[in-house]
Amino acid sequence: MSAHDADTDIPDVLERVQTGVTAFDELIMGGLPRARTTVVGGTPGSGKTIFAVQFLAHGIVHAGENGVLVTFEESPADIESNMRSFGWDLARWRREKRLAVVNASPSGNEELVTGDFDLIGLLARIEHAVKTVEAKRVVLDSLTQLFDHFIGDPKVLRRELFRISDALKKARLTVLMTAERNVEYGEITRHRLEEFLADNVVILRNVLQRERRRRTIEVLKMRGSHHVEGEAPFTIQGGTGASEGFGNHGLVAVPLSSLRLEQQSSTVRVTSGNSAIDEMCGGGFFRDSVTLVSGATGTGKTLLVTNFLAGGVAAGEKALLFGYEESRGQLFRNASGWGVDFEAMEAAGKLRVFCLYPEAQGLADHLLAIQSLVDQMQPNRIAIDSISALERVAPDVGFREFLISLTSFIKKREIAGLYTATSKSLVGGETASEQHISTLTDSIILLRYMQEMDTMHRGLMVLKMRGSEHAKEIRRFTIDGSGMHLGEAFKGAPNVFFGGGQEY
Amino acid sequence: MSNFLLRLYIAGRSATSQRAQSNLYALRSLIGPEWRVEIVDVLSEPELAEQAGILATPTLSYEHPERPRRIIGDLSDAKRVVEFLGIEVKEKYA
Repeated sequence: MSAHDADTDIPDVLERVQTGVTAFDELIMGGLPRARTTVVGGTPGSGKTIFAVQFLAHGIVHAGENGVLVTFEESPADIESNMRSFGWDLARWRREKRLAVVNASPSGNEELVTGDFDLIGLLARIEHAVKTVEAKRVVLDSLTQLFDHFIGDPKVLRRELFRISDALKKARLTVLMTAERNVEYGEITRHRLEEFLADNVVILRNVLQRERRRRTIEVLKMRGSHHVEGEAPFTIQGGTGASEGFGNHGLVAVPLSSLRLEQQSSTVRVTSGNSAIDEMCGGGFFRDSVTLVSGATGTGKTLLVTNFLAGGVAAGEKALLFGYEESRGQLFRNASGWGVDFEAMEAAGKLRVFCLYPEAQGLADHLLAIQSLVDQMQPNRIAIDSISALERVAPDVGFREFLISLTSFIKKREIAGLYTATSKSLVGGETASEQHISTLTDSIILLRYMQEMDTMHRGLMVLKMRGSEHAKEIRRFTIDGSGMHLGEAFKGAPNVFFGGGQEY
Repeated sequence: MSNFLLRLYIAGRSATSQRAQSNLYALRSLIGPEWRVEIVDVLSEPELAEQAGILATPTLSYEHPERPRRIIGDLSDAKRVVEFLGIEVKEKYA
């Protein structure tokens, strides 16, 4: 650790052990405290075993710390084959003496428990395994199974587990124990293991909300240390049906700690792809800003996106488009209808277009997909068409987290971002996305149908432009085969932009 | 014959292990001389505990080829022990 502040009076700075779930390590100030016991609780299928094995794998592969896996539930052979899909070759690590497995899974023996006993047999085996591979990390998966094995003697189990935990900690081992939960919210673990055993408690959740799975990780307690509170979303990468090309395997948490929007703002302007809109914005968008284009269906949002991408490519930039409403074919046809050749841009390596059904995966996976493609391509600008389609996927909290993470990611990379949002009503009215992101985006452009006498017109307005002057008027515009044309400002326009108390 | 082997896994000189050992020796006098008894201390021979998959100590293992049986605990209830192992008792005891 660098930069120890002599003035702060911390007698014993806890050494940290990285878990390999990067964003989770950030939540807990760098990792699990060394020589402590952490209980990881979760319902069946919440990812406890994956998390536990990832902790060992990270130690073995990245930290030069060997591990011991004590398995009470699955046989070593089952775990080995289950974990192979994450790229973790437990069998090889065993041969290389970097991992030792203590098989405590149920045997076929008939068994009778009568009279007092202890678990020194188990402790001796763990200690022996630790010695054999000179382990620094130990996983016990899962304690609940052990309790079920000795169902009649919970008091003995508590005493013995405390003894084991204590002995391992004294040997400076960092211990992770998994335990089952019956419910996502409520009692922390069955048998209340955390109460007597854990220095730290971590909860993995797998909640069904609006027919979508939402996985989160939460630090409930971290003895003698600060941690970020709240549930951080995560996804499980790899495993069966995994998409190729992602660098990460196992649990990948979405960073929440880095969500404070405190990025420096650039004063460099980039074109919106339409010179009249650039003018209205005071000279274009800022390079590291995110702009929201909101409007009813057919008002020209996708056209604005097309201009935004084409304008960037014309200026020598690389552009990335994520489409969640229309297919690639549709987007390409639209573009060529406005005189923009997406195909040529892709062939030149200046543009990439990805189309996905919003419902194809959870928001955490969408976010990771975007991040991974941005890392691959290193674009200068990115458009999301539309952000409101993604809102269908997740409930409010999840969507807000997604937006915050995505926006902060885009700004950090100094990429110009453009989101579109479809308002539900044709004239006026706010989209739910607007409410969520009006505070998060730097600029907002509204596209609205405007009624003037007996005719419907299209109107465009720059509602907000952070750090810059912008035109305040509502400009009428038309769309034809060469794109968008801004015309005169409406004079004495009716109050259709914000609803004006009318019902729509 | 392995059919007549009882192996007791103990943990050093802990109270329960000591008790299990003396209970086992007492039991032996009831079940006849063909039974052999082996004591394994998991603290000095952890690899044997690993091979046998021992969790708890003391554990008495009757490694019957068809019906392996194990008794966890200090063997204080001799009647239950012999019943569970399916061993015939030479003399009646209360």
